[in-house]
Amino acid sequence: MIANRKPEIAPLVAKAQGGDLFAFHQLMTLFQGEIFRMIYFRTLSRMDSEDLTQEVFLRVYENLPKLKEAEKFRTWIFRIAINQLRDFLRRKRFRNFWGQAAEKEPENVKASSFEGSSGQEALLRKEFWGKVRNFTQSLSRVEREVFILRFMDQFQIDEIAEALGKNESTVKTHLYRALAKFKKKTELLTLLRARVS
Amino acid sequence: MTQKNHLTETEILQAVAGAEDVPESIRRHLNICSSCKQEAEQLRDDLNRVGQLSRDLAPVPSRPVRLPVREERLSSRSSWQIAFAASLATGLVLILVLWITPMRIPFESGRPPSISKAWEDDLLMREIRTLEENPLSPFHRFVIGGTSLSPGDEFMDFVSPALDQNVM
Repeated sequence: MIANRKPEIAPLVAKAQGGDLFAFHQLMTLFQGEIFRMIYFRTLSRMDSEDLTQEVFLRVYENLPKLKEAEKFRTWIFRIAINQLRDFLRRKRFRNFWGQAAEKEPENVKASSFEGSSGQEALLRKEFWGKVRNFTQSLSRVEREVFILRFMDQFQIDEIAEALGKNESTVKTHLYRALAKFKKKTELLTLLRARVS
Repeated sequence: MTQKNHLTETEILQAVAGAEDVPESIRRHLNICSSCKQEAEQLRDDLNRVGQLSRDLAPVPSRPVRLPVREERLSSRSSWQIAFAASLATGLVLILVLWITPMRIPFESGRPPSISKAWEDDLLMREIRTLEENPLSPFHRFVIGGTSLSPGDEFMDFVSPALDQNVM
């Protein structure tokens, strides 16, 4: 049984479903950062992440009355975000195909994503996200999604299975493949270990 | 497990990825084999660090999510009202224009003032010509028995009877 980690969420969801706008705004406050980061991990663009986060919450607002199990709100909202991301990436690929997208480089290499950071911090962010991008691009679509959900979004295996609509053994298989590739990404491992020492 | 009684790579991955349901045999081996334990812990640490750094180094949103719930509902209602009011006003203006226009057409009808004046002069001249031809009103014409100005025979007989009648 998948449950929300924050115990107060289910009552808030129930209130929001009953039309309580204050409860809905509380839910937005609780999940905005998490959803924004979740999208950023996949787009590596702050601007796109902000726009998509906005779209996700609009979709959540429209569909909240249809959610039958309030305790599964977190998984449900992530599923909406994943679907929004798929649409977004599909549109982006289409634009790229027709040469309409001017930028090919993800925004993680641009300083605009890290406005407000000190020079050294901005450099670290740029280096880290550059290496994460190199690694995730070496994975298949499902491997990448499973890896990010497990280790960056902090989902359990059963939650991943539910969010992606797959069974747990399939999720594990993809996760093991992603981990095997992760072990071979020495440049990312070097960076991670250097942060500790 | 391998011949040297170490965990395979898949078993190490299994131990790290699915920490909640690691098979008992792998768990037991990790308790006694420092080499495999170190390898699993190293990988687990690396993965935890990826998670931690990704959260720490992700940018923060520069603007909050805005959900114009009330505004949206209000705006949708007011836009409906505005559309209704606009169409009502347009309808009223159209009715007013259509009602006024036929009364104005014979006199102005979009003609320039000089043409309108000439048209009025023409009407006046026609009336004058009619009066020249027949200045009497319909009543007086009835009394005199026709449109002609010359009196009829009956009238003349009444005024001065014929001599033949006196003879008889």
